[in-house]
Amino acid sequence: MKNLNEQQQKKKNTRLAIALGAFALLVLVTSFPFWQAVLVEISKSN
Amino acid sequence: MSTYAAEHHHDDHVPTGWRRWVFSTNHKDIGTLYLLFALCMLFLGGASAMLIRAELFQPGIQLLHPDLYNNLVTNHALIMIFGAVMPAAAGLANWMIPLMIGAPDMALPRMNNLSFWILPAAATMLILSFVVPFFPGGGSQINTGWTLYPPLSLQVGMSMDFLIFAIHLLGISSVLASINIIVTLFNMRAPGMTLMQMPMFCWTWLVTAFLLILVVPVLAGGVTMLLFDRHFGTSFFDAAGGGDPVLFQHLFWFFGHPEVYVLLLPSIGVLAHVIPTFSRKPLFGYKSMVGSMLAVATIGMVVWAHHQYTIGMSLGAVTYFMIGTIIISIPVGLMIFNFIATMWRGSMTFETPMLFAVAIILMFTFGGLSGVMLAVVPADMQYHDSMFVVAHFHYVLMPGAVFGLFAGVFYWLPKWTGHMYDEVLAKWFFWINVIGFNITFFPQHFLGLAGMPRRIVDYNVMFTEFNVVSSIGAIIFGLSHLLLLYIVIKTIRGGKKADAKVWEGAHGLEWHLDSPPAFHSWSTAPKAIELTDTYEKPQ
Ligand code: HEM
Ligand SMILES: [Cu+2]
Repeated sequence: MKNLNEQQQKKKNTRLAIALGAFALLVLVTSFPFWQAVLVEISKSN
Repeated sequence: MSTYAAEHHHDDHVPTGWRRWVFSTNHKDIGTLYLLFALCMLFLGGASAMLIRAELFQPGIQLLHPDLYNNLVTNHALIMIFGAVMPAAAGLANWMIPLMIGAPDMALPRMNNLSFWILPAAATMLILSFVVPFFPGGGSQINTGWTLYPPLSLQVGMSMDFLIFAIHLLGISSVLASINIIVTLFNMRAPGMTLMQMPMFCWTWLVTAFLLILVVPVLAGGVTMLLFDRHFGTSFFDAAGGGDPVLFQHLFWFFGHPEVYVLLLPSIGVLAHVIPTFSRKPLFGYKSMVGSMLAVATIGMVVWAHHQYTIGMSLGAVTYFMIGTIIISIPVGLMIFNFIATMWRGSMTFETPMLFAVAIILMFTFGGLSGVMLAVVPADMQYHDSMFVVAHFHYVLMPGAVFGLFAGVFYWLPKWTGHMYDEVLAKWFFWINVIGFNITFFPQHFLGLAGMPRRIVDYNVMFTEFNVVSSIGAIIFGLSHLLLLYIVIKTIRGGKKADAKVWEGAHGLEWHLDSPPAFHSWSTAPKAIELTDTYEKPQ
């Protein structure tokens, strides 16, 4: 880890946090249609 | 031992009064808040468990209306999982992660405050979902169990809406806390500490946090779809409108199975510190620990339907889920073997945290074995929804999550409070607690195998004896927690002064700070020499 000043550190932290938050939202949004497809797939009888 | 922070008391402004807690951005105070909250919830959830066991003491319906019984079963699980275990683990994370990686605080202190203070609101919602039906016009009680399966959950009254909002709030809190932990571990490590040099507790929380942001949104999506089905005319899960209730089961267990690792992993992290400390040996197989944890998390994401073998999946699907589930026992076993190898030929002593650690290894493995039984599809057709399942998950959750947290609390309590806890009382607590636990849950294996279903208020007289034993065990087990409470309060209020390095065999940055550490610790990064004090190098 490089020594960052407080300002840079804060910016870096906020950026990563926003990225992770966006990722969580993406998971939330995709979960709606995705699961219906999974359901159709695995309940097909062979 | 003098520390940097101790030499610089002048920048140590400790706010006072209620503002200190409500507006706190200090990781130690927020950690304390999380832990106290979890303790309250442990007693609330425990009270509901005691009522359940009181009712099951005899066949027939004695104390509780069947609806109330089901409501209690639902609330017990939700309160224990979301109110007790997860917040307690988050409390340990808040307290210890910055101390362990040499960071002055969590990366996002204000968000940290928010993550905690959402919890009391969520708990209020959760408790309301339990009590609302008792008021006129409050609708029916929640009788679905914590899994909230439709169509039942579509038929429950407004208490289900309170519960859905509680889950939304709890989910937001967990995701925010996870983001905070990931950012802290990625960005705030002391200069010179690489990821592969992080203390194992930090690793377990890193994996846990990623699991949480991957699965909690799916649960949130699922319960939101429930909410829409209930009020806005959609039919995601309503067969009458062309929906499919089984879809909810997939959504729920896609969250639910990884959730068990969320409950387990932080406690595994605690063991990875406790066992080396009291074996006076470095942790065996650091890299394989990290590797198996990543394997557990990855495979754990794709085995969810072992909770739904009986829904009529295709043969290919059940076979896949069975094999996947059984494969997970390999990396989990590896972690256990690493712990055993760490103890092997160590000069072990058995202070309370270590007693819990050894008990965990024995009993968690036992729960893992019944898990493998349940993973086998044809066998699970018999075991499913029986008390055997209840016995199984209590044998994994109680040692794997709760006892691990107890071990962590005893291990770090002297660090937090500056006082040693009463070792004699703590050992008493350990023995009563562990014996009480086994008396409560061991007979439930037999009950399940003999055919007693779970989540039913009444049972056939042939099940009486084991239920009596189980309920007596529950009284011992439940009451033992009063002793825990007493020990904790006693330690907070005083006791033998703890050294900076509380345990002779302990390693890591946190032991280079005073006990208790100053309000602001690691304001300057740890020195290189302190960074070399890890479990990993030979001593
Ligand atoms: C005082 C200690 C405890 C006792 C006596 C106890 C007892 C019980 C009982 C009697 C049930 C209901 C069984 C049934 O379905 O008929 C139950 C369910 C459950 N318990 Fe516990 N328990 C305790 C602690 C815990 C803890 C600490 C956790 C979480 C880590 C937990 C998690 C669960 C879960 C997930 C269920 C399933 C609920 C459901 O499927 O609806 N329990 N417990
Ligand atoms: Cu599972």
